[in-house]
Amino acid sequence: MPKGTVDFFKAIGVARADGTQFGTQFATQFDEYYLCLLVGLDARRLGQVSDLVSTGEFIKDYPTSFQAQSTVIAGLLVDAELDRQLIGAVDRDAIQQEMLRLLDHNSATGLSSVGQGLLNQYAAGGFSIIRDQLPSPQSLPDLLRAYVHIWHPPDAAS
Amino acid sequence: MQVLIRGWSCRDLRGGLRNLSVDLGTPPARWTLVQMPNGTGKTTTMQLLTAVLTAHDWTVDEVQALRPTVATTSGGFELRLLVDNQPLSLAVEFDFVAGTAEYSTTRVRALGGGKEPGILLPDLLRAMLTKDFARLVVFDGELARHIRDLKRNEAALAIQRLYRLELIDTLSQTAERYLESEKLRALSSRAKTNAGLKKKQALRDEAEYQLGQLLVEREDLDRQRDKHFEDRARFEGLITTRVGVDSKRKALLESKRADEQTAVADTRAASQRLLELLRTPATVHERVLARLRALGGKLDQLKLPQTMSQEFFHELADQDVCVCGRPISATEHDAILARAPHYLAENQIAIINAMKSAIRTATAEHDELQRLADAINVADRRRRLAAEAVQALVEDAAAEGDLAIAKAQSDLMRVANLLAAIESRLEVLSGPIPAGADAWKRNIKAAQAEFEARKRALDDATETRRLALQTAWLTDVLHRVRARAEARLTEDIRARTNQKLIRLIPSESIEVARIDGALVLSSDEGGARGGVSEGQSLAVAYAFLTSLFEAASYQLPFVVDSPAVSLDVRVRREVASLVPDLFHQMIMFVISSEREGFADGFYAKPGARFITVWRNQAGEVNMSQDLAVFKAFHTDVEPDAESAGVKS
Repeated sequence: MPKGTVDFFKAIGVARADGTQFGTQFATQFDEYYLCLLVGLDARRLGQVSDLVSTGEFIKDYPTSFQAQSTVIAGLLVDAELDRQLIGAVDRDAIQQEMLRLLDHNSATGLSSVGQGLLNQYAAGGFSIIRDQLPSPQSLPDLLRAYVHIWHPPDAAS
Repeated sequence: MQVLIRGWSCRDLRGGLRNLSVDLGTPPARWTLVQMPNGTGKTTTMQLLTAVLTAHDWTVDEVQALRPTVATTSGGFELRLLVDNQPLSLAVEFDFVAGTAEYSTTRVRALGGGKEPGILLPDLLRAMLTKDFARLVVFDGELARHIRDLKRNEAALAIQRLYRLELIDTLSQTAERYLESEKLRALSSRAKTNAGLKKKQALRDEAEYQLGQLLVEREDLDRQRDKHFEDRARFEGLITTRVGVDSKRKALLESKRADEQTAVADTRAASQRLLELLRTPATVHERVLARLRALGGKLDQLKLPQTMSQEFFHELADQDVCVCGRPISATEHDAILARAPHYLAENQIAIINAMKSAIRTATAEHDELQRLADAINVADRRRRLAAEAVQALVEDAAAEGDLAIAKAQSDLMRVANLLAAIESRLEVLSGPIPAGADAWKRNIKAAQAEFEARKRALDDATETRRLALQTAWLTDVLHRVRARAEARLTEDIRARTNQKLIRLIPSESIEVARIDGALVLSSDEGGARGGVSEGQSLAVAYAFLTSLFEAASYQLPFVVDSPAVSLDVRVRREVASLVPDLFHQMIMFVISSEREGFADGFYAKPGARFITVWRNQAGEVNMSQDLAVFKAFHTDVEPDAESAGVKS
């Protein structure tokens, strides 16, 4: 997990493993990670390894609600890495090498350990963007409407 | 197993219970209505019934509270049962001088039998009749009115007990015990490495102990949290009552609170839907979808993944002749192998194909995202306005000099602070694993992981790993069986409860949305509870209890105090027509105002028994089993003793 996420999302909290919810909360901590990740991948913002909390292997597998999206997340990572490294659209060998580096069908996430590490760094990059743009949210609804505004700024929409 | 109450006797106890013996006949009547006005010992009788069934541990104060006069030195209570057609009596003898209570059981046995010290119910019954569970069998009006305030797990625990789900846990525990004995055997047979093994065992025990401590702490915090929730509801109720002194203000307050609840429910629903949508990356923005499609197109154009995989080149290198017909020497073999890693492996090809397929079917739903974000905004504004209006009403009432409101508000603030502290600690305990090597001392997930790791180390050292894996597999299967059984039972009971509610309260749509530890009504889902009258709450209680018991293999008597006092006559008639058939034996303590619409429904039932208990002018308690007396009895008019065939 990116450093600081626990504090930043503190008011929202995560539902307990026994399903007890004190209010409207994230179902799993992965929701926090994922919302940061999407922003990081979209902005091609790679955080530093030092921006991550080392709590062992955070993601061994995606939670059930995300498993169907594992290949799409892998695709977004490949796309972000090709873009970040300025690998040309016709450079077949370089693209193939990237895939070799990032993917591993044997892992539950479909990512190699290198791919997994980069995904974590993108989540850290996304978190830094969210933290820059939003105050610490007071509730899940509060976060979600602000999060939609990050993607669809009100000015751009009008 | 069938349990019936044959009767009970009281001797020298407070209230009207100086010398009272109630006999329900042989076989015991299926329906007994006991008309007892206040002051004749109804509450004490209920308390004593529960006490002997649960072997209640009496305090000196509780014993003294039963003492009728200073001159009385002892008293007693006896409950006569039929357990699977065998007579069994449970008695408690009070020593008012010493402040002690002694239980005894009289039963028929093949060997021994007679009177024995203690409460000696059959094991199955004793395990089930905990204090909480007994509240559902000897059911007082207070609980009936607050059925939805059952403690967090009470409804779920009742289901577990009545349907004996703990037997599945017993199987798991047996397997665990066997594993443990095998480990001990291994430990004692390995003298050489004993020190190392003992250390591993100590490490595992330490982690197990720590995990247990954290679980106990969580349970304790949960209990405290429940208590504070109850306090909060009480203070809020107090404020509502005080504000409601002014009827106009009361109506406004109720309407604003209802608005607030609806807005909270709308916000939650929109948030959950929005979160679900966001979990699909392509829906978030058309830019994301466009990039994914471009990647798919790029891969198609470059014919990636290629059809030849690394595996093909590994196989080729081992051949004598290449596909082109040329021989493969050691040089070619090494060259092919050196280049093989440049090709994707079959498993990587599979994932790229899956990725391309997912990209093809992805769609963006940014309009829906915007709509939901707007819906959250609108609902949140509605919630804020309603909350502000509620606050203004409370402040108006307080400004008029109502000190009780000011006090309740300050109490509410105090409880909110306590709750925040508890929830913060619960978050560390139950939340995700925090950073740091000693996380397992603070966090349950970390403690579980640490315990599992240390257990595995011990399993490996004692060579019981295979057995440990088998035990873990069995335990997991049993756990899932139990969870599924519990879920199905709960759903079945919920559905039965709702079917009965349609009959009981046809005019309003009141239904149990979930049995999530306690009962949660659809109207509770938005947040605070409201909109359900006391009578409706009672109807929910009956519907739930009858559903709970009707499919169980235990047939227990159902004793209820004031079953219809808060129901209007129409609902009474429904309850009176619904409830009788669902219990094997019912003993109902009623007051005269419950005759209309409820007790009168039993007059024509064959074998129903009607008992009237009252105090005469001399303060003595009299009892009649005559229906005519039951029908004519009024609290303030003493029946004609001669015509009523009174026993005193």
